[in-house]
Amino acid sequence: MTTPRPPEIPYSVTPRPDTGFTNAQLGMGLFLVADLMLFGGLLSSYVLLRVNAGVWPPDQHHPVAALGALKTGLLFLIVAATNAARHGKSSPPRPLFFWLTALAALAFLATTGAEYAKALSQGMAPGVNTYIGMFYALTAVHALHVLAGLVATLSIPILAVPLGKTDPLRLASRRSVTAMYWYFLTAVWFVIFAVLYLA
Amino acid sequence: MTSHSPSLPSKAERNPAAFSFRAALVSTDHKVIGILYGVTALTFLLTGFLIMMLMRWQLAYPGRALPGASALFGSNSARMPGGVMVPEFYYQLGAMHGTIMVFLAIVPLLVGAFGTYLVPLQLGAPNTAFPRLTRLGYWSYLAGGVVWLSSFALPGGAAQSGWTSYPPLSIIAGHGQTFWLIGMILIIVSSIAGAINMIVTIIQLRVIGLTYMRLPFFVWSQLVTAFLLLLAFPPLGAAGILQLMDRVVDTSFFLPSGLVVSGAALTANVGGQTIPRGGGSALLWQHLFWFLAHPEVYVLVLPAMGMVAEILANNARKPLWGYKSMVYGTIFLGVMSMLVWAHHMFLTGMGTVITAFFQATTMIVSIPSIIVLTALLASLWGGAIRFNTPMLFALAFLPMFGIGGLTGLPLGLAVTDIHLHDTYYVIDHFHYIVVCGTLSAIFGGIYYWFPKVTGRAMNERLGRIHFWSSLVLLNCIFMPMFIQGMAGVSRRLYDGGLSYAHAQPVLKLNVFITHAAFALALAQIPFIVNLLWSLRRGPRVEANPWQATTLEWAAASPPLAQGNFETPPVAHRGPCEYSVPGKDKDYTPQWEQ
Ligand code: HEM
Ligand SMILES: [Cu+2]
Repeated sequence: MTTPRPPEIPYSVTPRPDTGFTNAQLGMGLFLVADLMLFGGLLSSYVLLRVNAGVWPPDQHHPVAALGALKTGLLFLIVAATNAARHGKSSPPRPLFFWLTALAALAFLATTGAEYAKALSQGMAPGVNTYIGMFYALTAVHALHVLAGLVATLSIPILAVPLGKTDPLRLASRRSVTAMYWYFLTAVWFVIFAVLYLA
Repeated sequence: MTSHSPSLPSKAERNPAAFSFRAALVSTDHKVIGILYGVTALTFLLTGFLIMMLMRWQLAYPGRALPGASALFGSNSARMPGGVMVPEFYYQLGAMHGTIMVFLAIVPLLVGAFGTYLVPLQLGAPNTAFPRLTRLGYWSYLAGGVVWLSSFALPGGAAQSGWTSYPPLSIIAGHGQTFWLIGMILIIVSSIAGAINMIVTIIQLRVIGLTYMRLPFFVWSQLVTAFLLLLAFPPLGAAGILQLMDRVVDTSFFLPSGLVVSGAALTANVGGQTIPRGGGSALLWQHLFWFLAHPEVYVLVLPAMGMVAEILANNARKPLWGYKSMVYGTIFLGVMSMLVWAHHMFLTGMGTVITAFFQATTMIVSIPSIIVLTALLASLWGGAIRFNTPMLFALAFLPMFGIGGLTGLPLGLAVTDIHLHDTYYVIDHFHYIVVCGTLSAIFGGIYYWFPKVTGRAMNERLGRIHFWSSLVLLNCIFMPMFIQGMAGVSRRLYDGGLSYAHAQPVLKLNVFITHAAFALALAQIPFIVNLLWSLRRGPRVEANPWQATTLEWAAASPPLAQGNFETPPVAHRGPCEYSVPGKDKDYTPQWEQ
């Protein structure tokens, strides 16, 4: 008697004809909707606190806009590299661009770390006022998302590319799903950048 | 491990009904994880019930030592010194009873156990769309539960700011509240993972011929529920993160300015300086919390409606009356439920315009519930009803949910809510829904699908004893609470109203309620005995013992360990074709040509 293998799940790599999606694409789409609600909750808290406050920003404390701009640039780099990693049915995958994406994400996290260290050394702790509190809440939640994206991206050249040599469709699906995620994080970042750094 | 012998079949393969715990721990099969959810959530249900019994003793006999408490807690415990409950411990029990019942018992039973187990089968699918995500959902749920329960062992005890965790109280409370928030974040992760998986499974893994309007109503109820979880939990996640920051890094998102606690202004030490805390908004938490928690109450009832619909159609031997209006009603209900949250906040002084808006949406949201209830009732008309145990529980759901729903209307109108808000009337209104209604449906569902899961039937006589005693006792518990609530007795009183003049005339009822609650515990013994006994000794059944029509009954009982079906079924018709004229039998399964 042989051990029964786990069943093949339909539409894991090829789209279901009547919906036009693979499972992973639909799943990522739904996840992003949920994530939008998460950031939406944080951002509407920001709006409510700001509307309730008499003066905004409440005092002289302010995040450094240049660092925010640098992080914006890094996200652009991430998106560009993820797009460049796209490959056709016959052409081989290009691991180089996944490494590049990961490197940019790492730089993003390092910048965030430096930003926090500098802010804290100048007495800009989260408890100073609700604006600074929101700065930490929004940027930290966003940075955690970048960290997750970094792990997901790294898993492609390490785990999926070797596999993609035999199954290019599966690799393409992995790439397109991570790309959706990076687009989303970049779009959310624009809003965060605007309300925090340019306030 | 080198003792790897591929020739020996595993225990589960030799006997598919045998449930191997070691295999279950790593399994990604939806049936195994569904069972894990079920067993875990039933254990939490019992935990929440025992906590409630401790509370009920205190409410009936405030200040009297609980017999045996010294043995249980130690004679000089800080929680029950000399066996008498201190107020702080009552509030911990109250907050954790609510939290455990909602997030660890009822929703995991409805969605985690019944949803995960049945939906892929009813779709004719081999598993969920993302098997590893199913497993992640379960383990994250269990971790959240463990964090919550362990918080009772903290020096200051568990969270004590109610299941709603309203600030400012929740922010100045002890460490139990931090555990509450961490547990909640784990539950949120679990719920969102489960919701994504459920939606993708339903949309993508429907078998050939299974169009949306041929889905069993139970699947529809799970689909709408999953959308509610997906959209409502993330804002609570945002709120949880902010409250965690308020507690851990001294932000003041939810703390208004000028707060004085125990005679001293609230301050924080920020960058070496002491500054007053404030500048935030306590109401912000309430908005974010209820944006989750109102949809959550529909999560607590929609899948129950779905189960009742299946059981009812099967035992009335009739198609669901108005299947399509039930489906559209449920979708409408889901959408509207996201627009009513502030009816929990009429007394916060939001202003009359906002109040009027939420009052109107609340009245509107009651319409689809009434449509579904009416359709279920009409489905019984002229049926040759089989009164077995699952059917009895499903039938009881209808009036119980009806009472719970109708008593909600006065709470949705701001004028009457001024009197009723935060009284036992509110407690009673939602307990009629979640205990008398939903829990009945859950019991009905267990009796109905037990043969599918185990290949054995449960005992009818024990089932009936369980049903009738529970039904009577539940109403003995909850009817008197309406009287107390209308007399103005507040909820969350550790002495049950003893120190309030206006509560005196209705105090006696507390003793009666408590005795009924203890009797209800005894009434669950036949159920527990039945469950354990039938697991081993129940008579064996074939694939479709209830002569039902939906696809889960096309699989063997229990279904194949890997992939559920010998060959994937094909759906040829709608989900409830019972007593079709001109057919030789009174049911036409979806999978028959
Ligand atoms: C027979 C079973 C049950 C009984 C007798 C019971 C009894 C009670 C009582 C007496 C309270 C009020 C405590 C107070 O205000 O001081 C309460 C609160 C509550 N119960 Fe239950 N309960 C039962 C089952 C459930 C179930 C199954 C749920 C599931 C959703 C649930 C959810 C809640 C919630 C959310 C609260 C509010 C807690 C708070 O004030 O923060 N209960 N229950
Ligand atoms: Cu509500």
